[in-house]
Amino acid sequence: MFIPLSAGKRSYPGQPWATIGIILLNLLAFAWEVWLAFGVGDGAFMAWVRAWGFTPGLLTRGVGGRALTALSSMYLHSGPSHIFFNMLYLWAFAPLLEELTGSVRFFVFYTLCGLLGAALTLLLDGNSLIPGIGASGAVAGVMGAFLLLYPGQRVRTLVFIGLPFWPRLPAWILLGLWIVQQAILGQAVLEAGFNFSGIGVWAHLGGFGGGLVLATVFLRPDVMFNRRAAV
Amino acid sequence: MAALPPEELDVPGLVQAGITAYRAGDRRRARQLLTAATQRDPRHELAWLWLSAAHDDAAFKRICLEKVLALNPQNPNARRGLQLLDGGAPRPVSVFSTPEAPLPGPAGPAAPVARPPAATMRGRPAPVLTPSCPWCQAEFTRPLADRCPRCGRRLEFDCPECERGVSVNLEACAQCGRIFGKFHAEREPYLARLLEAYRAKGWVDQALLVNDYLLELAPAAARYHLAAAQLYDQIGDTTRSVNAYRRLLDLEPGQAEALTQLARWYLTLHQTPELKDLSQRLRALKPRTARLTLLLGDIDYELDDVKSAERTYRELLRRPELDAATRARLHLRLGEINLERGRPAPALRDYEASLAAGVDTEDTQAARRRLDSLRPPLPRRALASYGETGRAMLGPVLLVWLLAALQVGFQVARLNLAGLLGLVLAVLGSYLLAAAQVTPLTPEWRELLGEAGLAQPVPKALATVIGGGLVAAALVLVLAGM
Repeated sequence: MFIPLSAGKRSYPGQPWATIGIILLNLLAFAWEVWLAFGVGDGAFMAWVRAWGFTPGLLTRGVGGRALTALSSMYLHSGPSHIFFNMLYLWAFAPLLEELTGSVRFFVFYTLCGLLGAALTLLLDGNSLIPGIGASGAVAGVMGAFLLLYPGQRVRTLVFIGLPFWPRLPAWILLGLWIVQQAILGQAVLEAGFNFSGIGVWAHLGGFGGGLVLATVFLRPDVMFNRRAAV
Repeated sequence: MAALPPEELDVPGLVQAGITAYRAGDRRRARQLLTAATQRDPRHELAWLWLSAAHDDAAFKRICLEKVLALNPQNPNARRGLQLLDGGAPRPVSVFSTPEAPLPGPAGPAAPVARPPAATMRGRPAPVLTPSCPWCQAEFTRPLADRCPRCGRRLEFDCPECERGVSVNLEACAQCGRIFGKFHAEREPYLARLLEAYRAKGWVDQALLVNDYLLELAPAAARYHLAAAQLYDQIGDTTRSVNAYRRLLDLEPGQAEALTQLARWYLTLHQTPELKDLSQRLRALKPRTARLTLLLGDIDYELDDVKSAERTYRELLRRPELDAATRARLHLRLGEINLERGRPAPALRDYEASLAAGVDTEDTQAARRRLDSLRPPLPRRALASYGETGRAMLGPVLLVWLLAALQVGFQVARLNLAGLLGLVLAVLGSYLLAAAQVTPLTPEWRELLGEAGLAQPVPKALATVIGGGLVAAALVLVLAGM
């Protein structure tokens, strides 16, 4: 088990405001869900997830007004560990990426990666009526972009092999392992004909691929020009 | 068989391996193996018998033979051995004495009683016995092992040639013949030669042990403190290495290596008071090599004497012999200095020069990240680039179009007029936003609004608001109109 803890410090003063904003939005949404589950009860939480989770089958059947759920589902989570790990991955990788894109571009990039994850889910599992929630597609996009832009960056990682270790693994190893794991899971899901895993594997793969492809589109102009000049 | 570690052998195996080692002339290993055998099985008659042969000391031989007779009073070899001992070597044996007659041993398969000691067979002096410690002068009636039981110091060192143990009483290795000299008469040169040999072999642990003894013999000898510092550095024991360098500086305040190594260490730890102290002494060193100059520059930089550091770095950059990695590092440092002094333009030039050094080091990576994060003013060609306009448009356009695709479930037939209008508005709005925020100097805007194009505050604000509004309208049309 590999859990990234920190990918290093930003080199310039300032805060990754978009990342912080996204995390706060997720936490607020989660607090609302907790209130629905324990404060309101009577299946209010499940009704909320059905209403705002991303359900590919509804879009395929043309039930109107559902594309918004691709956006809303990115801020909903099913439990504490779900949101914790998604936000941990986001906090580990996003600040360095946001440094290269700027906050507004980063937010658009993040949203777009989430949508690409949803799009791949719709294309490969279009009949599913199970609502999908979670930021993992968008976070996977951040990871894909990180792999492209900082392949050699050392990431402090918590590794459990019987005992916990805290090595600083190169990003390409950590993210490479992760995406290979997802690809194997995707292959197994394709062979099984249905998603038995309960993991949004298509959202992960779509988001990651989107991050890889779109990363350079969202770099700040000065970063692009510096990099071109340096080549 | 003999090569197996003793713990993997059973008692008969140990005895057999001990006998084999004895016959091969490796008496030290024979002693080890046979002692292990007698410890595991104190009633093993043959083990005691061969152990008596493997030991050089008459007193110990006697003990072994008496053990044999206690187990088997009729053992003829033990009886004969004891008779020989009674008529031969005196007890206790003096430190430098050589046995006058061959000492007894078991009359086993190899009849070692009748054989002379291995060293004598090779025509070398027979081993001198060690009933007293040459370090602490303590007298012992029992034979000493490889360490003195009282002071704990080594009485045997590994031969750097054949890696076998050699007693300090021997002037040469009994196995390979390597000359060691007289330990009792001249301990320091003996150990100094051993130290050099171990260092040449890369045996750091043994070299450290010998060096410790040398420091004990000559505590004011700077060369042994230097050796200790280098050896500890070699094994990564920085604290001890630094302490050794400190002691060296106490003895020789101008010792160049100690000064530079300590300065590097203090630089790493940002210990400015110590650096200040060293700085003056380092400046007195001659010749002023590139490495030394770089170190002085780094110290100045650490001590916030930025002007002096900058002068030193620039002076260093003029040296043609400088390698690319150092050049990259110097430019990075100069960039940092310029940035700290509020001069971003020269800082950028220095970061670019660091990258231009053409190496991939931590310094160039830092320079790249600095360049990325400095947000230097874009060149005019970037502000007028259609490529940049397209790149900036892509984000909002993709966002709206992808949402539209999701809204219709990737079924183009379900796209209606509102949706189509949304797609078009997204392009228009994105173009305005991109032009206002990223490329205000494209030709059409300069033709329309003059040389400053959309960079003027009012047109820029208007284009931003209208562009943002169009993108928002496109989102509404796509999400609510289809």
